[in-house]
This record gives sequence, C-alpha cells and structure tokens, in this order.
Amino acid sequence: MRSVWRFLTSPRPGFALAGAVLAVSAFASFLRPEIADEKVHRAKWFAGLLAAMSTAVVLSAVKRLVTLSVRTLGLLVAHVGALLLATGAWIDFRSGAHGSIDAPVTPGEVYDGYRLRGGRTVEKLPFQYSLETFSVELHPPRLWVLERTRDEGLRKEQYAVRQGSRVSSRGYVFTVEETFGTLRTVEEAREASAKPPHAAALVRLRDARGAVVRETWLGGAGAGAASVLVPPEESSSPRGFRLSYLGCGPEEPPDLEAPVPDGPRLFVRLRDAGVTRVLPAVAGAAVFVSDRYSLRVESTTFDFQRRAESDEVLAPVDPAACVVIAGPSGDEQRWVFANHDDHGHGQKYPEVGMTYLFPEGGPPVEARLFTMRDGEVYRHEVYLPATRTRVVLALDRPVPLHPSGHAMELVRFLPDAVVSRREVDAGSRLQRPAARVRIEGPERRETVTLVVGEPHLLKGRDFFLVYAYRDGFEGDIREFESRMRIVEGGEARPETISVNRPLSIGEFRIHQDVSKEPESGKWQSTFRVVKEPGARLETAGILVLAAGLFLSVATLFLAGRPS
Amino acid sequence: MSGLFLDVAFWACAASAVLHVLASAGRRRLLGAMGLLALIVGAAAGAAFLGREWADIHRPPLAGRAGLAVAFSFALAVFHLLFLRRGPVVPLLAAAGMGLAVLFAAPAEPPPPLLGSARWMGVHVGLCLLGHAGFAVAFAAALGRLVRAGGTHAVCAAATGTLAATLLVAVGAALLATRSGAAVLPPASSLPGMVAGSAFALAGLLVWPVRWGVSRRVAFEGEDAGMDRAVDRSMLGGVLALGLGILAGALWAHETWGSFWRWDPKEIWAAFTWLLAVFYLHARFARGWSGPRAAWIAVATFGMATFTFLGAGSLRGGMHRFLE
Repeated sequence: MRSVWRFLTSPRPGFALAGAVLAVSAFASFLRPEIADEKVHRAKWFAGLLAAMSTAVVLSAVKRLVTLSVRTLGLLVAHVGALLLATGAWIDFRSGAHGSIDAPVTPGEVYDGYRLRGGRTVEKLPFQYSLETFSVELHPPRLWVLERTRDEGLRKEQYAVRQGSRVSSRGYVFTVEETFGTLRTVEEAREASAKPPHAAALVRLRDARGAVVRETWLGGAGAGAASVLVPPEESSSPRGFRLSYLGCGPEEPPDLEAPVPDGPRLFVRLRDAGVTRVLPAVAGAAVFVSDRYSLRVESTTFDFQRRAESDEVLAPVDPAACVVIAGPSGDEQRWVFANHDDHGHGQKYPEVGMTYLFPEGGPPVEARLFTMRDGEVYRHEVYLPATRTRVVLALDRPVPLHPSGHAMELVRFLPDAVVSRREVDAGSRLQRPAARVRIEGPERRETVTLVVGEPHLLKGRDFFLVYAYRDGFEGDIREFESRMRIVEGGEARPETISVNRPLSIGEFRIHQDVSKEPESGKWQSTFRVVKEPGARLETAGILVLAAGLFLSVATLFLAGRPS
Repeated sequence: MSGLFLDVAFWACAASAVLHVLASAGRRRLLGAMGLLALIVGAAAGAAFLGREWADIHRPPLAGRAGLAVAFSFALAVFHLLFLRRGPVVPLLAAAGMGLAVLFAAPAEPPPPLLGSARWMGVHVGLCLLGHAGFAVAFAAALGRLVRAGGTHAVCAAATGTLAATLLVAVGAALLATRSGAAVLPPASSLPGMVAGSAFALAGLLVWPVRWGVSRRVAFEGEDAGMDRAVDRSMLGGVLALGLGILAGALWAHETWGSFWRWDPKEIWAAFTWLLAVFYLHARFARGWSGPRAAWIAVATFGMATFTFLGAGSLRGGMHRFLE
C-alpha cells in the first residue's frame, strides 16, 4: 500500500500522463482542425486524461506539502499554481460556456442569444445587443526607400502614400500615379469577377499622317452608389466619414444648418458627425466640409441628359451639379450629382474616369474616358480639357483630337472589366497589390510598377523602392471595431468592441471576431462569447505557476550541481 | 543607421566564430578571449539594431524575419557568454542568424490585428526566443560533451552536428529562394558578406568531424563537469524562459481570443519541448543522471525546439501562422 502511495505521489505519473496528453495532442496536430477538435480535444476520454493528469499533480503536490523544504519550495509553489489552474479549468468545464455569434450580425437587428461551440444549441443571454456600425481600419500603403550607403549602412525612409502622393528623397521625386488593390490583367479581372465595377477601353492614338503613336487602355467607371468614402487615414475623424448626396428635390431635410438661397442645392451628410449640410449648388462656390476636405461646385444644369450610343436621348431631363471634392493632399475627384424624378432619389455619376497624358510623339493631349452605363448601352467619350470639348469614340474610326491632326479611335471596349493599367514590368507577380510610381531624378525619368513584396532597384544607384502594405479589403487590417447597443435591465447603452478590447457584461465577455463574405470578400462582424466563472482562478494559477517556476529554477541554479 | 548596426553585428559574430574555431583547434586562450569580445560587440550591435527598429515602428520588431533572426542571435550570444564561453557552434549560429537578417533587412509587414498587442508580443515572443536560445546553447555544450565521451556517442554527435549544420544551410537557402514578404535582394556592396556568411555556414559541416579528431589529441573543451554545468545552466535558463513565455502567451490568448489554451500545434509542441526540458532537469537534479545519457536529452530538446520554431506552424492552421 505504501509503495502504491509512493508511486502515486511521485512525479512519475504526472510526467507519464502529461506525456500522454501531449503525445495525443501532437498526433492531433497532424489532423484537420475540426477533426482534431471533435475526436480529441473535445472528446470525453481526453477530458478524462486531463483529469487524471490533474489528479497526479494534486497528489504530487500533497506529497511536497508534507516534505516542505527550502529546496522544494519552488516546486510546491508551482504545484499550487497548477492546482489553481486545474480548479479554474474544472469550474469552467462545469459551468462555463464558449460560443459564438458566427452569423454575420446585421446592423440594426436586436439579438439575445449565441451559439454554443461545437453544437447547434442556441443559448439565451441575460441582455440584448444590436450592432450599429462595424468598421475596418486599414494600414495605409507605404513607400519605402532603402539605400545602402558605405558610411551609414542601410538607411530606411518610409512614406505613407496614396494615389497622387508626391514624396522627395535624395534628389528624387516619386509620384504615386495609381494604386491597385490587386494587380491583374483586364482579362484576368473579367474572369475573376462576375460583377466587376469598372469599364475599360483600348484606344489608339494616331498622328496627322495616320501612323499609330500610341495604344493604351483608358479606364472609366460605371455609375456607382451615391456616396464617396473618405479614407480613414486622411480623415479628421478616426474612422473616416462619408459624403452622401441626398438629392436636389423639393423636400427639405429636417436638420438644416442654415437657410440656403433658392435654386439647386446639394445635401451633404457627414456620417460620423451625424449632421447634414446643405450647400448652395452655385457654380464656383467652395465649401469646406471638414478641416481637410472641400467641395467646389464646378457647374450646374437643369437639363442633364443621358444619351445612348446612337445619340438617342434617354430622357428625362434632370437637374444636376458637377462637384469637385478636394482632399488634403490636393487630389481632386469630380462627380456629377443628378436628381432623377423617376428614381425618387439622387444619383451620382463618375463624370470623368482616369486621366492620361499622351506626350510622346505628338502634342500633349489630355484625354479622359467617360463611360455611362444604362442597361446594356454604353457611351464612350474622351474629354479634352484644352478645348473643353468631348469626342465620342467609335470602333475603328479615328476621331480628331487636336488641330495638328492627331486622332484617336476605339479599338476595343470591355464593359465589365476591372481596369488595371497594363504597363506592368516583365516578371511582375500578378494578383498582388501594386502602385504605379513615376520617378524623376537627376539622371533619369521613368515610371515603374511596384508590386508589394517586389523591391525595385534603381539602376546605377544602390537603393531600392519597396511598396508595402495592402490598400484594400484584402488584408493588412489594423483594427476591427463594432459599435454596439446593449439593452440590459430595460436600459440601453452604447458600447464599443474591438480586437484586444473585449466587452465584459456580467459574467459574459464578448470578443470581436470577423468573417469574410465569400462573394464580395468584405469583412463582416462576428463575435465570440465566453462565460468563464473560473477565469480569475486560472489567471491566479498562471501567475503562481510562473512564480513557482522562477523559484524552482533559481533554487536549482543556486544549488549549482545535481544532488 | 540600423543597417550599420546589423552589418557590425554580422561581421562581429562571424569574426567571433572564426576566432573560436582557431582557439578550439590550437587551445589558445587569447584567441578565445578575442572571440568572446567579438561576440559581445556583435550582441551589442544586435541589441542596438533591435532598439532602433523598436523606436522606428513603435512596437517590438519581432513580427518580421529580420527582427526575429537578430533577437534569436542576440539571445544565443547572451546564453553563450553567460554559460558556455567556448566552442564555435554558438557564434556560428549567431552569425548565421545575423546574416539572414542582413538579407531580410526589409520593412516587416505589420502583424494581423489579432496579434496587435505590442506589450504581449514583446513579452511572449521575446521569452520564447530566449528559451529556444537556451536550448540551442545547451545543445552545443551537450554535443561537445558527447564528443568528449568518445566511441559511438562521439560518432553520433558528429553526425548530429553535421545534420544540424546542413539543415541550417538548407533553411537559409529556402528562405533566400522564396524571398516572401518584403524581402530585399542584397545590394552589390553586401555580396562579400553573403559569400562570407555562406562560407561560414558550410564550414559548420566540417566543424564536428574536425573537433572529434582534435578531441582525441588535446583536451580543448575543459573538464567534463564544466560541460555538464554549461548544459545544466543553459537548460535551466531555457526552461525558465520558455515556461514564462508559454504562460505569458496563455494570458495574451485569454485577453485576445477569450481562452487560455487552444490546442494550437505550436502551443502543443512548445509544451512538449518544455516538458522534455523539465524531464532533463528532473533526470539530472532528482535522479542524478550524468554524462552522455543526460546530454542526449538536451540534444533531443533542441531538436524538438527547432521543430516547434520552424515546422509546427505548418502542420494545420493555427494562430501562429502569420509569419510563415
């Protein structure tokens, strides 16, 4: 009997059982996660193995409590820590719960339950919750300039950049002409997306003699939602704000800031500030909508018309305003806001698409592709700012662009392609974020495509350009945050949950989690719900275990030699 | 400036490895002392690099390969200076780590938001790296002890050392081949460094057979007891650091994911490594094991630590995969 007691209170059973637990777990680490969870980590026999290991630790601790000495003090403390940990885990096992709110939480809807982990049971919560907003904060894309110098080693400079950014470094000027969330060919984009948002046209520029000067893709855009999302990193608000066109109709919004004159008006809603401002839609008027953004009404009209390719007027005639939104870095976006009576709400049109210069081999011509989609009919125009005229492009029929005789013709039009400018350096890895950067230096001038993770070496100089971090919904997310409304005991209060900052309500804790919508690829807010009555005991156990470990090692270290 | 620190760290560690090889072969104390001095310079330069990076990116530079490699090399140098102070293996490993960092001295991408707690990342990753470095130094000392034991032990130890050096070169080559993340090709001015680094790593293939042969002639590693003590102390440091690192990781996981333990492959294998190291301590201090029998446990512990560090994350998903 004594020998059995001696065996049970020795470290050997603990070692053996811990070894068994870990050996099984190591085997399970080769299995698929869901199978490992179901067959091993949540199986009853594994719980039994853990319980046996805990019992062995308890017995071993009891033995050490009896034979307490300075030499075994650390081990005793460590065992007490392990005991606390095991007790906390047992309490959690008996009366705790782990679950999730794994369906995408719809903003505005009120919920009062969560799904238990590994099952379909829905547990009720002692409170109700609803999601108000879910925001994703992105790391801004950056341009790194790395230079290896003889006296200083590797020098690194980083610049937060976006489209239109211009930075100077060591005699060079780098201008980010375009950024791409995903760099790919037009054809790839067509195949990848069932509902791509953009259109593109391949055009050919000819000189007066009819010789082809240049052939390039022009990017346009179809009609989108009537709002412009201001990126968080450029906004005065930490989460950015949204400018929304509400309409030009006779109905007045209820919260006007100040009376406005009669005539066309533009309503702008500052989403985060929760206010609506009404701007007089008078040509030339400039209004600051925040300390960093301004709107300028470029022109107004009461007879905005959309026309089909056959020049047929699609009617009806609507009032509209062309608005330029200027950002802090000097970049401008131009939109047409029109009010359609038949739609009953305002509509925004991208009045101009991307702008391209054609300086090589001819006079500088600025061309802007303008596409508008209505049903299956498209109209392709090039806007010439110099003469303030538009030219309708036609397939294989050059149309004059310039008094010198230069002409342009439409070669190919893709109504449903995501446009990427196809001047990618040979060997670039596609399907990755990229930026097109113009480099102007003392010795040369060139434009390069920088793909994330692909350093670009400036020839003749010993430094590199690296475009880092993604600019899109695909990754490099800095923070997820959900603004919630919690109703507890009949009282409602706002709460915020973000990663690393869970929300504690009574004995429940809610952690921010996310899932990705398969079709759109957008992030959606989900939550993990944890009820852990033994958590404090477990935390205390970990701290005591750490202290015991430190004491044990210190004791052995000071002892110097094995006994 | 941080690039200069990195270059100094690499060259100092490489010089330290050369000096240690010469000191071991000829039993020259002056060369050994110079090797230790070079390692101190390398460790200080590595620490300066980490400090500068930390100040630049406002978080511990442990989410990128360059930062991890430098931190590991720094930890190796610290353990070597504290407990071993002889043999070229640890300076060689440190030089290899610094060399990899030179090749990957590109900006590290930020960790995903679920790992965005700078405080916990520094504590958890730093302690775990320290633990692994302790096991690496114990491994080097244990191999020396086995070589001294002679016979089959020495042959197996030489084979193990050769295998480890080969794996080191293979991992370095694989990292170079993939160049994933924001890696940067070395510029022309660092080509000599690359060549030297590769040469030193390949020299590791020859270190153990040479040492085995030399050990027959001169007792260059000191007393057996000294080697055992070096293994003991490195293992003690490793057990303490890895144990605290795992516990810190549990607290971090609870704060971030809502549970202390998630049966993640890296968690499991790290716990396995720690338990094996504790078994070594139990065998040595409670059971009085000594000599090759205990030394082999230290060797196995380092093998398992290496698998935990490099391979466990690729087994099945898990939350430790953001670096792979």
